[in-house]
Amino acid sequence: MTWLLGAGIAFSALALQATLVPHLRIAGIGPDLPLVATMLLAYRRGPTGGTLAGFVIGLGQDFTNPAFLGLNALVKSLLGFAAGSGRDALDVSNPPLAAAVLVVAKLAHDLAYLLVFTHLSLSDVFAGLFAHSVPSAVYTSAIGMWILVLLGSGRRGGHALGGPGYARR
Amino acid sequence: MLRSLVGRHRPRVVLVAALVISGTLLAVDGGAQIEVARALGATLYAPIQALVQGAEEMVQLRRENRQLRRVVATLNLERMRLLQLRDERLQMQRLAGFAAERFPLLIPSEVVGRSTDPMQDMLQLACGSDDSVRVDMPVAAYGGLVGRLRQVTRDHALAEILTSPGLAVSCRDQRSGVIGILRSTRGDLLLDRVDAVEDVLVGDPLVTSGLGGVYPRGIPVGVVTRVENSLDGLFKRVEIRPYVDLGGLQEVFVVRRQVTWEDTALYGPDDRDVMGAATHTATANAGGR
Repeated sequence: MTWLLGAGIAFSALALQATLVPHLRIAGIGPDLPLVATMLLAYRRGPTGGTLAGFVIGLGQDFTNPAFLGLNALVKSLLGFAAGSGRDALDVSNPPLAAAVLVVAKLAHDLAYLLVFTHLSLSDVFAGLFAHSVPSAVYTSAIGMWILVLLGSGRRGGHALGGPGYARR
Repeated sequence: MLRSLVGRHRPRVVLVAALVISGTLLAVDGGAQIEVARALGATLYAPIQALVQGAEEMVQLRRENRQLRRVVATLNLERMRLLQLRDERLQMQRLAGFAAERFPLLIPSEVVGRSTDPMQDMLQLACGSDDSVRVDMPVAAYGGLVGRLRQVTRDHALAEILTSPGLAVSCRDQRSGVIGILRSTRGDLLLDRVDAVEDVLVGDPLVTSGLGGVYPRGIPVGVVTRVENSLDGLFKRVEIRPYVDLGGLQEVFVVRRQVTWEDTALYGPDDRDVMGAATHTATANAGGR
């Protein structure tokens, strides 16, 4: 049931990214809901669940852009692992901290993505980061921090999403 | 041993596995793999996108429906005003002893084929005697006259169109009232039998005259594009451009019979419902403002 709920969150994030986010774009910049879902599941389920969630969600995104099949899966797996490993150090029930976590996560994600995508062309990486990633990180954190605050910090209480995952770690 | 090792380092094992799979997918540059991924993506996202597209279409249709109701309501009000004017006119016609004015009843029909015979320009229509369609009934489109029916079977009909050499239509210059016979001659549509002294100018609209009993009076036909005297100086050569694009017809209307303006068969029960709802909407909108 826990995995089913996790799969539901992952699928919902992908579905909303494909359908709702195009309508939420401001000057071509939109929130990254799959990243929020990866972070949420990593916080709920720890590094193993976070890695798996990142891999599945990333692969789901890669299906829409098969020319770089595996790139999102790779980057989001790393992100899920990192977020799941560091979840005890950062308490995301605090909204500003949750926002900061999402901003850093988005920037780290895009940095890793762009490094592979541009074949290590640093000028392109920084251009992409400043033109797209920074505003998108702000937008993503504005929307995602509430999701993280409300759902990301209930793992210790034996919540359906996170209790077993945390215990397994 | 291996199991306990994997169990102890489970997060790292999962991460390495995920990275290896992702990296392999990224490294392999196979067209077939891309096709599979594209197919999987389409399977994953197609239902969602269909759902969203359906919802968007629904919103658009509702907006369009509201606009159309407003238009229909306006037209309905306009029609009511015209009916009042008509009643006044009919009363005057009756006083003067004129014949009662008639209105055509239209049967919509799809164009399903076109004759390839250069001597007879024919359209094949998806209506027949089952639809109360008969030979010699006029055929019109939104823009105006198309021709008349030549053959009718149970479920199909052949319509001879204006550009067919065998067709002749009595027409009237709407501006001056001059009457002539419209024929197709060597690919040109000409208004025949117009005396050299008659008043016909370029740009004059042409309608059916109603003479001959086949075509009802007043169906738009075309516009005069060229006027010149014939070689013998007795007649005018008047070239006509039809209002209807006869080459690209997809839907036409067979003019079944003539009814009076008062005949309620002009509108079906569904039409009356739509018009009633539209009038109601328009009244509500006007009240809201």
